[in-house]
Amino acid sequence: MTTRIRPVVYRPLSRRITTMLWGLAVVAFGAGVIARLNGYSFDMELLAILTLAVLGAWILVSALVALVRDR
Amino acid sequence: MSGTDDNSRREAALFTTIRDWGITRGEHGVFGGVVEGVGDRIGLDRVPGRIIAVVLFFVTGGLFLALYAAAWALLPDREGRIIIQDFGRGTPNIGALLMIALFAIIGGNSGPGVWFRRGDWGGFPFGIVWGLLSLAVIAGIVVLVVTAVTRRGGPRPPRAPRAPGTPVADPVYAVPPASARATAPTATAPGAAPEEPGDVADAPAPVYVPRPRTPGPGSAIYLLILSAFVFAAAAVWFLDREGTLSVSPVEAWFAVAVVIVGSGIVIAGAAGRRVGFLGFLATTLIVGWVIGLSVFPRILDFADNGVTFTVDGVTHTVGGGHGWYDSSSTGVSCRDFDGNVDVASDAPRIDVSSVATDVTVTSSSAVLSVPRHASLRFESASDVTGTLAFEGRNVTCDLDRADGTLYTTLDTGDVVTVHLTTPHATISVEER
Repeated sequence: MTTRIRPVVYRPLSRRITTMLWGLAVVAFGAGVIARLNGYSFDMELLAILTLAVLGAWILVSALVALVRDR
Repeated sequence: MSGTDDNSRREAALFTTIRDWGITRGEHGVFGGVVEGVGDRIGLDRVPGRIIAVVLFFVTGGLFLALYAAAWALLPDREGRIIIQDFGRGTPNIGALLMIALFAIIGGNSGPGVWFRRGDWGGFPFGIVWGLLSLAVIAGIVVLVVTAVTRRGGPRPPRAPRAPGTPVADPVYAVPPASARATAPTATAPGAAPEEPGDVADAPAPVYVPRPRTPGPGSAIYLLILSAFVFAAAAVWFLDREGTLSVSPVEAWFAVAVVIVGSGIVIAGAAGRRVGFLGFLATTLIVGWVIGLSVFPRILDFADNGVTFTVDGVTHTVGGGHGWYDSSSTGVSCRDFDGNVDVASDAPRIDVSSVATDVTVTSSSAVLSVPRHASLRFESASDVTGTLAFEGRNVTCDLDRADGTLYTTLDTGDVVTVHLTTPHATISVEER
């Protein structure tokens, strides 16, 4: 039996930034939970609107990056 | 394969157009791989893609589910198979079709904030619009199948009788677009039998080219996170021991755990590694907290659930497993919160900004937002009559006091005095 070693490739800068943004979003969520448990209240409707807007911007930037890359 | 060009020409233009989009369903999908496929096309990781999908699922109600079903049915997988096309060709993927139908029916019968009406479409006019939309989705799928079958170049030629024992040939698929072919695995696995000997005889021998892999977080990052978990447990335990923790230590630890896992994802991302198991962990924690904080407001805090109140110098605790209280002599009765408290939709919301504050309620109903674990003292010049609803504590108390005073304790802390000026007031008490 032959063992084949798959080459290791680390992610390019764009994917690293995406992953780090995702991690920061998780950290922000955790910080929000801690604040909530400490008695701070949030306007959940406004938060949902802002989240949707940020998601839209994120996808838009992703689309633009993909467009530039495909050219 | 020699026959693919013919099949490409015979394919309905709709499917060719879809293939030209270059979006192929992924191989690691939870359901149909749609989120992974779209993410690959726009450069979005699988895990954040799933988070976005979950958010859209909750925000848009059934619409996202219906769109997902349509994408699952219409987008090709990495080998060029389209579920709805295969269905039209008589080689259906039964399991996928059942799931797609389930998604379409649930999605089509749901709307923002309403899940699966079970025949009740919510009245005029939005319910009817959603109902018609649901029927339109189902009708569209039927029309799509009929169109796809009839536009393949006229009537189908009669099938030649198959000799007994002859294996059924694999269905032939149209050629995927260039982008999809580039991502499709082209190498033959070692030891795998060739699909069709005739084709292999003309082609050069397959060469195994191992695909490069991106490593996961790795043991160093996992151990780093584990150590942070342990340190957090020690810190939370210590704070609880010192009495400075306002929530249960388990609750506090899980909140800190979200920050720790998020930090681990940031580190893994900076190192150019995959998120791996950390993505699953983060998703589980976030979904758990969203459900815990919204659907079940106090799910992790059974220990101090319930309400304590003092009447005629005697302290009683109700709710949270402590039992209930109903006394005609004291004029206080408490019961399980049943959701039928009559607080007007335009009732004023009174935010008590700090403890030890006097608040006067002049309306017949009000929402009183108080600091968590506050103590409330209800006072009235005349008899205190009305209803106090502690939804977060799952307690509703009816008051009919003769002396006009009731001391209510949610937990411990300074006292907020609430002056009632309207008889038969209904007050919803919310902790924040």
